[in-house]
Amino acid sequence: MTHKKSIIIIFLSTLLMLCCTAFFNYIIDPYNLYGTNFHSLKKGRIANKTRIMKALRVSDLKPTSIILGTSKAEVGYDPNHQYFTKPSYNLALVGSSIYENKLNFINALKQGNLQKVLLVVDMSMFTSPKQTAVGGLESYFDNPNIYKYLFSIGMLKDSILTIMGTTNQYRPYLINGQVEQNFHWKYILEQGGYLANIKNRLSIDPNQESMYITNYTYKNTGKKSFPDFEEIVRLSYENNIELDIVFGPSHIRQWEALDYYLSYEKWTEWKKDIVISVNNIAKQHKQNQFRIMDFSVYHPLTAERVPADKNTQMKYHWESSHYKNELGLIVLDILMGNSKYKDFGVELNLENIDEHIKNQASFRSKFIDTVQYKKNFKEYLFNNK
Amino acid sequence: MLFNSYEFIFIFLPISFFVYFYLNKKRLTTASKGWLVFTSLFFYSWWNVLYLPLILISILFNYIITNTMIEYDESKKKYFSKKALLQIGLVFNIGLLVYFKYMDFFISNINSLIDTDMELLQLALPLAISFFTLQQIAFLVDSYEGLVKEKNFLDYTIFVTFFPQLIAGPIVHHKEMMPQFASAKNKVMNYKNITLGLFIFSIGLFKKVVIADTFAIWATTGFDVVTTLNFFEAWATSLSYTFQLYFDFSGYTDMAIGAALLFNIKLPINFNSPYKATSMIDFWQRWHMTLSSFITIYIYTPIVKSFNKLTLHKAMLATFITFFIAGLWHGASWMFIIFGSLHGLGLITNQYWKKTKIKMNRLLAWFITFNFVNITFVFFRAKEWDDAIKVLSAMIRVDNIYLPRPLEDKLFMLKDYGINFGKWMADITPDGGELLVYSFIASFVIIFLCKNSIEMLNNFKLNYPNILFITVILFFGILSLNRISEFLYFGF
Repeated sequence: MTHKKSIIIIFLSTLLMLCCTAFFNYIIDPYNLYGTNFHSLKKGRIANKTRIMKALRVSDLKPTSIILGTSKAEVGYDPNHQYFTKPSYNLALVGSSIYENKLNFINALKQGNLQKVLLVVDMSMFTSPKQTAVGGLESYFDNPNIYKYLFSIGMLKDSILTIMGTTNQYRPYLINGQVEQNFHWKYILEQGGYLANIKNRLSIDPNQESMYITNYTYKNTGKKSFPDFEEIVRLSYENNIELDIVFGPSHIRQWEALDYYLSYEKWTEWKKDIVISVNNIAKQHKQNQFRIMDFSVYHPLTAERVPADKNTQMKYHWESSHYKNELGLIVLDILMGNSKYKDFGVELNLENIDEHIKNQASFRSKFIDTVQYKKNFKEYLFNNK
Repeated sequence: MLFNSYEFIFIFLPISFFVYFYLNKKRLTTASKGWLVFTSLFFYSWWNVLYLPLILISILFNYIITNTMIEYDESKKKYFSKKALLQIGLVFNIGLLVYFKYMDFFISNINSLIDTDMELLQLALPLAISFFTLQQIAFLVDSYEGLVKEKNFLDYTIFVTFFPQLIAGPIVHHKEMMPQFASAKNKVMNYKNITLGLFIFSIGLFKKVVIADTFAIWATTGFDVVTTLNFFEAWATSLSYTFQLYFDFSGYTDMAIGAALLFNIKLPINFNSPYKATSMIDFWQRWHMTLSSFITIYIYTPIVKSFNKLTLHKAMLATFITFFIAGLWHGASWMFIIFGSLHGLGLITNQYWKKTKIKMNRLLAWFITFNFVNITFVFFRAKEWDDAIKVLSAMIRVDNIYLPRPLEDKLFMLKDYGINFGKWMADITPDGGELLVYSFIASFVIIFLCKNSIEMLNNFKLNYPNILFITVILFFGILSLNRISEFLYFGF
């Protein structure tokens, strides 16, 4: 064999393999990007490209209602609820900053149909170490080149796994953008049940410490996060969007973790900053303040007992941070004014925010013995703190 | 432009290659050299065209100085000395480097030392400045000593800018490059070199985009994202970076060697299985070899020569100073200074140990060397002192050991010794650590049991298994291009 012949063989065979891979990926379409729908395969690997998948879905669907927020909103809110005008979509994204949510909001706005937005705010959105969880996110909203993924090893792997029907540890999504509920239960069982799961990771995790920064700055870019939130509010006023801002009903243990790594007071300050900010923008636009509802309150629904038995499920919570669809439905019912839980959730404004914070601080000691909690659950708190 | 990008592999490289040999075929040799300079400057400007004037000024200035030195004769003695020219050249090059790379570091240190509030310059670090400055300093010194006599501006510019080695080396000497560009034989397309070039380029691409970029995820998470690590996570973090750095930089060098081979140019080797080293002296003879060679000739030797009477202690002092400077060369940070100083101390210890003539078990020698390198790379990678301490302290904290939960049933008795079960790698990787463990095993096998890429290149035989090997790694390399990331040494 000559070197010339070997070069030709190398080039042709590499080219052939690349073309076959692209064709295979296109047919299987593991992230639902091309709409090929081959054999109606269950797309269990979408979580690898959630951000672009959701951006494209919004462009196709042109929803009138969307949900924004982090994984808590992604898991906990059903866009099919009657609270939302249809078509509706859960556009919340795991680990997203308020900047990412702003970009998604603007993209949804550009589609021309948007009327209603449920923004489930989370302190981590404002203190996220990364302004965007993935690089090049901005390009997802302007005719993104979805065909470049055809030539990627990640897509090839996910195409194969899609055929094999595996969803191992990846979040399966419903067509409406919400995460499938039973995924979490499988994950919690793997972690040894609720208590073990909370103990292991999600309740008081020292590595969430970086999320507890109070200067509202993205660590990787040094840019401020509050202006992104304010832009969402401002654009909502300017485009006649009905915006509801919600502090989600995580389990009360979450606030003890936050207190341990930051301080309970800093967290309530953040809530107040949100109220002040929305109020200021409302005044600038000479309109009423958008509704702000606080469900991060002390209530039997947020203080559900954590079962010690590893096979027993909680009714409303997945762990301290994420809550179930059932609790999300209660929140949506309350927002519609159609719920038996009249005492759950407090509407906030500039007049009552200080009083509300004071009330909650007094409820705190009634619902949880914070000293004893930290003592008993010392092992939850990382010992080098 | 990155070697591991679509635009480089599918557009830039083929166009540069075909036009170069077309011009040579038409016997337009000056045009072909001009073409290489043009493509190299285009390659350089791809990131930011604002960098271009700087490299051009640097080339022009150094060319004028060296040319004046080469043409220096008795008639000019009354105006200036040759040594003065050398000093001007050195001040210019080092000044350029200090201004763009170290000024903010100095200012911020002065600010914190004497409590002043001088404003930082906040200049963007011009790409490859450390490399092209070093290469030109070497040329300057060689010209002063009469070792080179390059008068052709185009040839000099090719020597500095030849794109395969422009950004991150290997650092080349004029005498090993220019005869190759001048050789008539090298102006003809050589299919053997193309095959070899493809072979080594594909290996480099695979090392970078498949292996190094995989380790990069865990290293970045461990160093930059999580705030607390357990024992195994800390070791996984440091080893991930140690492997990432090797596969990244040696992968880059392989690609540089491969790209240059397409043009019939042989670049010097830069890595020779450094993690197989059994001493620090051995390590630096295998790691970033062209840098080692440069610092030996142009830093260590002049320091040693400056001593009146050389003793072992003085030679050790010279070693420490040399590695202190080498550490600083990598970047304007105390972390790099600590890295360089530790390596200086490691080499000194190694020298004194050699004097004792006590023979150490080879495996133990390797173990000590590898771990020393791994630990010092923590400083190399850490952005701040706290990041380094976070990783290093967790690496020695045996009261913070977690094992995988599936082992709990079999090893439950370890709980009595304070060993926990559960999140043993949870903060580094969400998949339970399986891929990480397999990657470590595979990398240990590649690094310690396989031939390195240069050995493979030297023993290359044209046969179907090798063609299949090239095709498969090229295929996986191209499929992994989507994970675009820069090479680590671009920042130095």
